[in-house]
Amino acid sequence: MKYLTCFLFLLLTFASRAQNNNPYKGLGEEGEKLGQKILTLSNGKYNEFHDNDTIVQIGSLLYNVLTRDVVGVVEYETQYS
Amino acid sequence: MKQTLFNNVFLPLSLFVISLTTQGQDTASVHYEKAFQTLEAMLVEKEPATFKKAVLTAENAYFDSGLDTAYFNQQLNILVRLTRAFIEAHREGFIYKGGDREKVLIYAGVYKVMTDTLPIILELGDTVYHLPFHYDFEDIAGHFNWTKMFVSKLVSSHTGNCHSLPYLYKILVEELGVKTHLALAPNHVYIKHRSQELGMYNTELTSGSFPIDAWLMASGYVHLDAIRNRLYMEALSDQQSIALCLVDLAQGYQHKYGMGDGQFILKCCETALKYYPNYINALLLKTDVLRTHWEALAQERNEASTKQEQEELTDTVLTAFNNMQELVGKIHDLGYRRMPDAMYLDWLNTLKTERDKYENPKINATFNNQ
Repeated sequence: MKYLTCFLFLLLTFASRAQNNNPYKGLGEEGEKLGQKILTLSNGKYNEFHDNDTIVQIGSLLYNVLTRDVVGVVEYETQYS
Repeated sequence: MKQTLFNNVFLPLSLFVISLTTQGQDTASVHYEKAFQTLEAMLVEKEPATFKKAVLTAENAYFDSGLDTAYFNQQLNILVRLTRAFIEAHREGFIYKGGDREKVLIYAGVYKVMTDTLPIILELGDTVYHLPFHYDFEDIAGHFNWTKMFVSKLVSSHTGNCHSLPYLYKILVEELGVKTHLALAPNHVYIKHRSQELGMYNTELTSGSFPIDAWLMASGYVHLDAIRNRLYMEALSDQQSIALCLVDLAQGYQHKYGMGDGQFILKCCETALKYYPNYINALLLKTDVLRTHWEALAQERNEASTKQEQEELTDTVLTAFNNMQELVGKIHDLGYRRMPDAMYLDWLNTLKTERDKYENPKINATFNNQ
């Protein structure tokens, strides 16, 4: 069950990450052009986009940021943040 | 016959073993309790507080008060003397001309002693070399061996991590009579200084460099809310630094004995949070304690023999869950976002490979042209 939870969490993470951070993506070709104007500090070197995921890991708990519910648990891990 | 053997041999033996284990844990708890009281006394200013004492208190408890503090102090003394010698040798050529020159010279001296190979000419003319401290890439977060986080380990092995390296820097600077500030980034500790000519600047002991805030923010996966709420990138006060040691103590306890009933760990977290309300590691560790509490109550409810007992416990379980959920919500609202592990490892790598892209060139010229 724990492994299943972890797998689902990872799946959600990657699924969300796969989405482009371009807010105008839905506009087609014109939207793609606008997407190229997104400016970042590291110019794409680092992941500077937060809050793409609905479910995030906080400590050993999974938290749904929209419903504000704890929706799962993962293995305990040493925290050093 | 079997029953007799059980009663006469196995039962007393089992009780003896259990007694020994409990006794061992109780004795260990005494060390941790004593360490907690020392750190708390420093926080409420009942005892003179130094960061060195706080760090050693937390580490000593892990070794059941068996840390060789004499050796530690001896090694520290060597580093202090070496720094003083370096400062004297470079005082005239030091290009920084601000009114706080002496202070900045100490910062530069400690930085060089920790990050560079220094020749030492002995009385008979022979030259020996003091080697820099290096990053220990094995078990970087002390998952398997908590002593990897210790300053005492760093001093004896000359290898450490982003926890022990800045801690040692702060200890050395303070031994030389000057203040400095720790600062946090996700999975990371570094140093923040202020000087009259250069303003605020960061010192990164992991790679021996001076990253600007923007680079720390971009590469460290720091959410703007986390800066706004002072989770990260704040110059920590002395009390906040001791609060860090209190959570180190709790984490050492957890590594050694597990969560237990969580009370000791919770006590450390609560006390640390009094002095550093948004200390992220204290908040995260507290969620683990609350989870343990909730799971224990839920299990108790599930094992209850009557339906009435189960119903009575349901409210308690729900309250425990809500407390945990409320804390997790608060942590998210404060701006904590868990940095992906792969990103952290990449980040450590870039500290070495991309120095020119993120370093503060002004500081670099001041400190490295000696």
